[in-house]
Amino acid sequence: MVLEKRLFFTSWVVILSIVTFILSLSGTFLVRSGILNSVHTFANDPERGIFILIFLFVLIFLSLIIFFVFHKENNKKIVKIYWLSKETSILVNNWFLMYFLSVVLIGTVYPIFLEVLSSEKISVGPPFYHKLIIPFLIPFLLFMSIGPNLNWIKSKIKKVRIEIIILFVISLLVSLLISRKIGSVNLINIVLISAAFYLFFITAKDFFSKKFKNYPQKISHFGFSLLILSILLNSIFSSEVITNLKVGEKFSFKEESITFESIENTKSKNYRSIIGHFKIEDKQKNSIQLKPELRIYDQPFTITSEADIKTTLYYDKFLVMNLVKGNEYFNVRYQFKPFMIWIWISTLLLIIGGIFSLFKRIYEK
Amino acid sequence: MKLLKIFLIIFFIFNFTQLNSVENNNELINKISKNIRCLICQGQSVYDSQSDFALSMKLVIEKKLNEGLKEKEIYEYLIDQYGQWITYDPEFNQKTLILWTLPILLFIIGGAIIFRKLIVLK
Amino acid sequence: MKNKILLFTIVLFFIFCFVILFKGLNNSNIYVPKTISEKTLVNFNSKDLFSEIEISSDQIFVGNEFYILNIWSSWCSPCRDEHPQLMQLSKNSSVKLIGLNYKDNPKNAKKFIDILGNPYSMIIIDENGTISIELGAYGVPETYIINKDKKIIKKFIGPLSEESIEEINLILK
Repeated sequence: MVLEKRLFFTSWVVILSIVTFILSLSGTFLVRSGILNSVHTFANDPERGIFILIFLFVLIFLSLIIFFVFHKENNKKIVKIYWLSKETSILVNNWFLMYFLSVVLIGTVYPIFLEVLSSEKISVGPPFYHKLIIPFLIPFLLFMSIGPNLNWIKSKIKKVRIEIIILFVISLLVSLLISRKIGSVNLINIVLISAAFYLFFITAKDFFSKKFKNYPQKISHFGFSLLILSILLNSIFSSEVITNLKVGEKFSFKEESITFESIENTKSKNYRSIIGHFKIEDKQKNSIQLKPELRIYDQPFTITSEADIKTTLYYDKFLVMNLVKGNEYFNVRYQFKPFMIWIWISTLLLIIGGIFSLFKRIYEK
Repeated sequence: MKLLKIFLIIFFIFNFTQLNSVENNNELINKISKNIRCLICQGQSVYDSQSDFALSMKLVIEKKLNEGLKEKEIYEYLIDQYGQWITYDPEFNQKTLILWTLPILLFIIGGAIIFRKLIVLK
Repeated sequence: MKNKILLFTIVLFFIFCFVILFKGLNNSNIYVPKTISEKTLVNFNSKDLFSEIEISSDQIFVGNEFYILNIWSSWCSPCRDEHPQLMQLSKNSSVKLIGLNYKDNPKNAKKFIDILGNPYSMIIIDENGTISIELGAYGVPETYIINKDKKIIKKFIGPLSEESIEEINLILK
């Protein structure tokens, strides 16, 4: 859709499409073949993995051949574009996203290469990804606030409207408030949170404005900013408690208390189940009931744990219990996750925006 | 463009701290066990796992904290016992040099390509 | 011409990736921590399985040329498999065989020994698994060969096989 408007960078777009497909196949390979230590692996031997690997690389080589033999860059229309334009912002967006992609890809695949080449095993996990992604996320969010509002080919720097400045100041204040509340006031936090809020306000402003021009884009961009914001707030304000409880015991922590009320034993077709009745009570004496379950299967003997989750617009409350070998008490894990549902809603918005733009194309034809 | 580069450099210099401040022993145990790999599980952290090894490991971490060891010292102790594989934060040494620098290198190369293309078109 | 060089390097790069990934598939996923240097056995406190008397490692690892520390549990089936090997080793009088009962129920442990025989000169218990972790173990069964200076000479992860026994016998000479 973007490509239609300007015949720029056709090679890049083609490469991007090919790479996307190849990477999704690589994902299947990495997860299912057993080459990485993963809970999703079901391969007991390298045979399945070898098959997927060969399939993957045949496709890679075919795509290379097709690209180099059949593609010719459309160089006929060389139009001047300026720095401050939509084309540049799309390029900058791609630039940052490719960086995030390379961080994830390298972090995942590097241990494999290192092990084969030097027999040394390392693990790459969240600390690595946080250190490399978060600093780049901030400029990315700020660019996303500016980009969609620029014109194709050229934009003049208009007088910055008052509303934009007000929104910027509000974002900063909100961010300071939140940083103060979590007790960790430093530059990275403040800037990251204000960037997320600022993007949110800007896209919300566009989303709720009555103009229907470019509506699918506004939906998608609003969905994206909502996604970033809800992930950020969720990770800041989540809390978790792990404790051992016997029936009748109560565990109190900062804002709430968990009471292990009773146990219920039932039997289903192919399993027995132990259901725990828990009461979660907050400071204002509001309480909810959560009933996590333990299922005991016979053929073969397996115990699985089913969590119970209560979802509202403001939070998700999650409770799971586990048997502790040879003891009367249960290991209870309770998680408080605010704004969880908004992560799902924002993804839905992104998808809706994509579908709408598809319909818009068909409609315009 | 220059503004962008300055922006990026400033963020590189700053120390990247966690988003939440840590309050007490319990939270510290959780924080450390999220960074330690459960060696007998398929890719779970000690924090997530309910296996024997993970449960014992949490007790050992608690014991070491009560003995007065700091977070960094606990990681060093575990790496000394079990090797680099047990921690999710790969240390920055000769072997992991490519790991840490390649993404940033690609970023700079990407920027250079875009820069040149835009100059040509201008 | 430039295009052809680019294509050639890309193809080479992908062949390289293919070879590495192929080799990676055949690598085992079990992690064996490398013991680069000989480590000294750390001091720990434990309880005897039968007498329930508290005892410390200084009191256990004294008076012999070699010690074999075997970590086992009644609920672990490879431990059952390696038991005959341990019974064989116990006949060697120059070595003191010590059993560390890992995260087990004392009744079940005693039953296990009653039925299969006791190869150990002493059995101590590790109720919550912390002693094993401080020794650098992470599962059952594991076997350590320790010399008179309390240095860990060799570590076996998993049940002892015929080859491991031969290795041990060589070391003990």
